[in-house]
Amino acid sequence: MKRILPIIIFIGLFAFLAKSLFQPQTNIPSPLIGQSMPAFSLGELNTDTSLTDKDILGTISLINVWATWCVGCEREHDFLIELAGNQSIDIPIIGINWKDRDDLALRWLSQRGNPYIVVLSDPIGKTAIDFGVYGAPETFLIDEQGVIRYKHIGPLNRENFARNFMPIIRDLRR
Amino acid sequence: MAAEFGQLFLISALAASLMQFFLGLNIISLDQTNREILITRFTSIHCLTVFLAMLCLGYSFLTDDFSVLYVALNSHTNLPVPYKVAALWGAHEGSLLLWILLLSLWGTSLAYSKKFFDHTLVLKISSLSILGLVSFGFILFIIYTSNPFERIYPFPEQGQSLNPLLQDPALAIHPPILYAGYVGLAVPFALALASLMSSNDYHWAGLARIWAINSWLFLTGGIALGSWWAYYELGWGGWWFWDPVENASLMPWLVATALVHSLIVTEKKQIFNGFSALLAIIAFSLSLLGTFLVRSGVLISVHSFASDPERGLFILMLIGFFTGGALIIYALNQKRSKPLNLNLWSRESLLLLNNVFLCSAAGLIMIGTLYPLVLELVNSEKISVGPPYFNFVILFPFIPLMLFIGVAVFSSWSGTGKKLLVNINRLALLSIVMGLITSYLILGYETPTATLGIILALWTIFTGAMPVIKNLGSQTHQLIKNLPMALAHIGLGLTVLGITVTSSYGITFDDTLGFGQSKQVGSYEFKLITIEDRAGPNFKAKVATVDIFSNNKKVGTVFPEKRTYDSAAPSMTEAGIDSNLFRDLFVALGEDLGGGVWSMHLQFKPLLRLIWLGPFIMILGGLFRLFLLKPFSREI
Amino acid sequence: MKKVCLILLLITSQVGSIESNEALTNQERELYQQIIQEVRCLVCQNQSVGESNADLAKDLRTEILEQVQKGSSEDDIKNYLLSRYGDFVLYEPSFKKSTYVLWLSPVLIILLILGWLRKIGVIGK
Repeated sequence: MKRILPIIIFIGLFAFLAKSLFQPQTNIPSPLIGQSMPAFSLGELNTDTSLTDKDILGTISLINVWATWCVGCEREHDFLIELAGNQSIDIPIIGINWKDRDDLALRWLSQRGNPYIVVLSDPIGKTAIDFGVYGAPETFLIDEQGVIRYKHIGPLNRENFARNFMPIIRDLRR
Repeated sequence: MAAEFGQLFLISALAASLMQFFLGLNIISLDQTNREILITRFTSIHCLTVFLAMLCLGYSFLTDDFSVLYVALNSHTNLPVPYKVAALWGAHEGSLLLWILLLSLWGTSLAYSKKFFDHTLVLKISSLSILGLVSFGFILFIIYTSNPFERIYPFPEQGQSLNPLLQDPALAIHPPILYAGYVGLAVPFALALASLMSSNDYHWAGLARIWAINSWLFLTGGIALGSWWAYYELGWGGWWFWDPVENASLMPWLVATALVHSLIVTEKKQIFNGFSALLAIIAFSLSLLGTFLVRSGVLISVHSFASDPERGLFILMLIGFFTGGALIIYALNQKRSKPLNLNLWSRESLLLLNNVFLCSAAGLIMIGTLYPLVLELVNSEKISVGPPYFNFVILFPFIPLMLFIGVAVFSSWSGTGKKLLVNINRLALLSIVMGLITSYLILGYETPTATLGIILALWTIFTGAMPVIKNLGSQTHQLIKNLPMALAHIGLGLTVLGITVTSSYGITFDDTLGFGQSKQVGSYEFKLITIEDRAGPNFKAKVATVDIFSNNKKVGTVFPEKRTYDSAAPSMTEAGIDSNLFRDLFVALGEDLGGGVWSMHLQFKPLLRLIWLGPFIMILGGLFRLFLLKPFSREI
Repeated sequence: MKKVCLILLLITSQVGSIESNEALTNQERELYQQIIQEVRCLVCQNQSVGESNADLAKDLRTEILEQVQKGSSEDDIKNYLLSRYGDFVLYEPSFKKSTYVLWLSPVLIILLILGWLRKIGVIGK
């Protein structure tokens, strides 16, 4: 036993290292999934009105955190437009413009099109911290009661939306 | 052309290392004398060709040959020449070439060593052969996955320059020193295997000890240098972060320290042969593991190289082959040891005990480093294991370790407890009294751990120094005999003292300062005088002048900088530090908040310098052992 | 790896700075300095928010500072962060089922050593 103990430990370690080498890097899981979304009150972009978390209850919606300085947001934008126009999925997208300037955000939306039913502005990033946002883009799936059902980190596209969001949306609508 | 020559030399090195390996095997029929001559020659050819390959890469750097991908990625025409040389090992490919060069240099030092005699000749031949195989594996790795001589076409007009963080004298020499330590452990590894496969007795121990001390010296120096660099260059005044890459260097150091001590016992008492061999295998394997962790990208670290799973896989195969193979050889050749009947208070068992503590420290660091990976794999949880964890668990092996170090110094081979107690009780009392005075009266009581740390540090220093002090009047060689041990232990004690006092009594202060304004940090007052612009060779800087007062007397002026390099977007902090043996005053420039107000990071760190003075003294001890003791080496 | 638009991924040599002029008591300052060293900057390569100048680190520092000034305790602030970012955000792993092995490893190792020493006869005879 004394002789083969080192080799046994080593084999275990080796197998583990080999496995972790092929483990795809995953994002940090959010503890907020299954919880009610945090309370917020944010001003609408370019207007004086403000919106709270209560105002978006009653329907399944997406909250998309984005910014004009964010490269990944540029990549997902076309898909967001497509998604907003998709009648069969029919899901409203609420934008939170994170740590950005209003003028830049408005220019971005007028140039690339606006997929959002409403864009809220979070210039100091306080609400983003409450949502546990650490990198844009991040997208939250909110159910009718305001519970966060899913969180996606990184750009959305047709493929990952169909795989990760659609089953939950279908479930919720059943 | 240089790159093609480099490539050619690398392939020649591959062939030479393979020859070096085959010459050690019995499949080639040669008598031992010829075998030894040939293997020595091939070892030097192998070393020479790697060196020439390195020269070729250096030539490409000095001539700004940006058609070589590695040069294009890591150099620039306006990069100062010393940093062009440092850029040779500034990134993955080049650093691996350096790794191989150092490995072949250690191999050559073994080949030309005068320590081998007729009865150990077979050890020499087999260990050189094993070193040849190790080198072969890594040259293959470099050629297949990380060739520094790769060309690009079309090639860029200008290179991307060396990461500004690496443009620093301490960091330029840090990798060669640390790598020399890592790969130096290949020599005890090879000797242990050679011994296991041949005579399987204690003859290898004395030889392995020389190279173990050598690589221990380099590891100590490399780690200390890295920590010193992090302190003044990274900008926030920390000196150890328990980052996976730092841990990867600390684990081999701990095991190498155990190895050096275990080899003493094996050499002198001819016991623990298997344990020493196992330590030699583990020490080198941990070097390899470190290489894997740094370069495969499985862990997130501040210092990782650009990572690539293919490289990770190759290194993992090398680890599997060398460590796995070595452990199988160990298992097959392990003799049934006769019962030792050790007394707990004999030097043998105290050394054994401390070696076990050193290894468990390494084991705990490994558990902490790899645990997040395990959890992610097992149930996709993500956690962070950082300084609060390591600072806590490291106390478990280190407190008894520090306690027994002093006891072990006064113990004797096969000795018993009674005599020992008489010898140490005065020193123990002295350490406790001095420790209590220091922590209660001089510094002010902080935590029980701080007090304990100070007592144990003093205990280690006193017990380390005592054998030398006691022999001050006697003959030189009596005096000098204990000097390496004394210096190593005093060095360790000073380091522990520095760590304890700095972390318990240091003050860190983030605040804003306007021109002419001042802030009180402990008993020091920091006053911002001006901030001016300055232009460097490849950067622009804002330089602040901060005066520091103590009791209304000016004690120093520091000039922290914020640099913006031409090549890289994020700006860099160059801290302003005023230091003496007793305290460091540290100022780093934060951000311009407008209106002449800047955010600043201020620190007062008592006894911080001991953290690097300690390793320096340890290294002195090691150097004494290697060079000064030669004439007396028979008696020691 | 999914391409996430991180605020700042590269290692920086910048000091984490405070962006408030308000005076803190010594106790508050100590708490603040301690917490920013123990909270991980999620977008950085293994740096605490106290060591990083990434935007997120700045925001988190501001948040921590505000909470310290409000009189929140260490646990309050840590729980606040845990409930939003999960275990990953703290450098000190919490003691729970999946970390039992981690936290008990020092004790286990010491016990193993003692057992082994007994077995080879160094102690306990």
